[in-house]
Amino acid sequence: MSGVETKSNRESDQVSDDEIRLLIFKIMGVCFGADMEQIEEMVDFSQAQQEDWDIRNFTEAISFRDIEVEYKKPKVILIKDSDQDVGIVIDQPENIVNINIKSIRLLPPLLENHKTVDAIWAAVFLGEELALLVDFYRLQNSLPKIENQKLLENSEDAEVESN
Amino acid sequence: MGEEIEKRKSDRILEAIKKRLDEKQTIQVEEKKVELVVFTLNDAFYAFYGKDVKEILSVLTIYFVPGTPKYILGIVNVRGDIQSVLNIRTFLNIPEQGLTEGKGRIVIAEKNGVRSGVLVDSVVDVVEVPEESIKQAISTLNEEIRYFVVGETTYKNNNVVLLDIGKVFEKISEGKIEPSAEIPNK
Repeated sequence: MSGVETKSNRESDQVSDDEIRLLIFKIMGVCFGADMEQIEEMVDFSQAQQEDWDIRNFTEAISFRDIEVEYKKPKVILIKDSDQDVGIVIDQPENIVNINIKSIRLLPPLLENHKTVDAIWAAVFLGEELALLVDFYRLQNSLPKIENQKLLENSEDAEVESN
Repeated sequence: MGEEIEKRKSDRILEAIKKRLDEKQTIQVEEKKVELVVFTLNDAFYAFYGKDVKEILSVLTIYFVPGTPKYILGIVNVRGDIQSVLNIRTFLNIPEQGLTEGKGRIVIAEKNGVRSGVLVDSVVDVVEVPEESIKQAISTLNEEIRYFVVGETTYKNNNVVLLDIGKVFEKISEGKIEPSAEIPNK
């Protein structure tokens, strides 16, 4: 796993039966948490382009409405046990945390029944922050393929490459 | 004879008293009151039935949830539980207007087993009004909006549109709201 060597990561490698280990990342200020058990590896976007992966864009499957989404430091997550090597583009993760499953909150029924994607399955409070839990297995089926170069526009990787 | 007249007189007095009591009760029955939670949206007055309002919260952090329709503003943390927050302007075709700092409120409403928060500009009062003071909504109201309107009443000389939050929940459940409906900015 590259890029997310955090203190909490190193201190809590063990996950008990009543816990879930989450990769925490933000896209346009919205905080997400993904089950680490669904992740094979994570690499920089530029590195992922060199792999024979089916790279797909997270935010094209989960609509941010009329917000123009920009990735600051795009990373690609390779989904574990996928039939094909599916890489999902997210923004630079912030942390990895172990969460007791008792602290996971169901989404309100009104929202649960009217969301347009089922990949967001619950939420958890991390202090003052709320993380939406994302199931990458559910997500991968509804993700369109992306044009790699288009994604890099406005990202910091693009600036580095242009230099 | 005089005793009989006195009896009749007492009967008459008793009858008069009973009649007055009956009239009072009739008036009380006629003046059945309902509780309303009066709130504002863009300086106009609206209300929900008090029985449908569970609590009123200061505006908390509303967390946007991608992949949801525009009428769902997001979710809030209510003492550890998560509640959805609706943008009722979507249903009433009211232009968006920024909240005045510290004035916005989230009204947690529940009807027919559905519970959600509704963001309003301010909660003005919780009042009891005679049920008969609620009149039919004016006919000039757009038909789509009138679907959510129970009627109209007054509060301190202001016109108040009484809304049925159950109808809003019902409309959402039926999936008849256009998810991408744009609200014009004021």
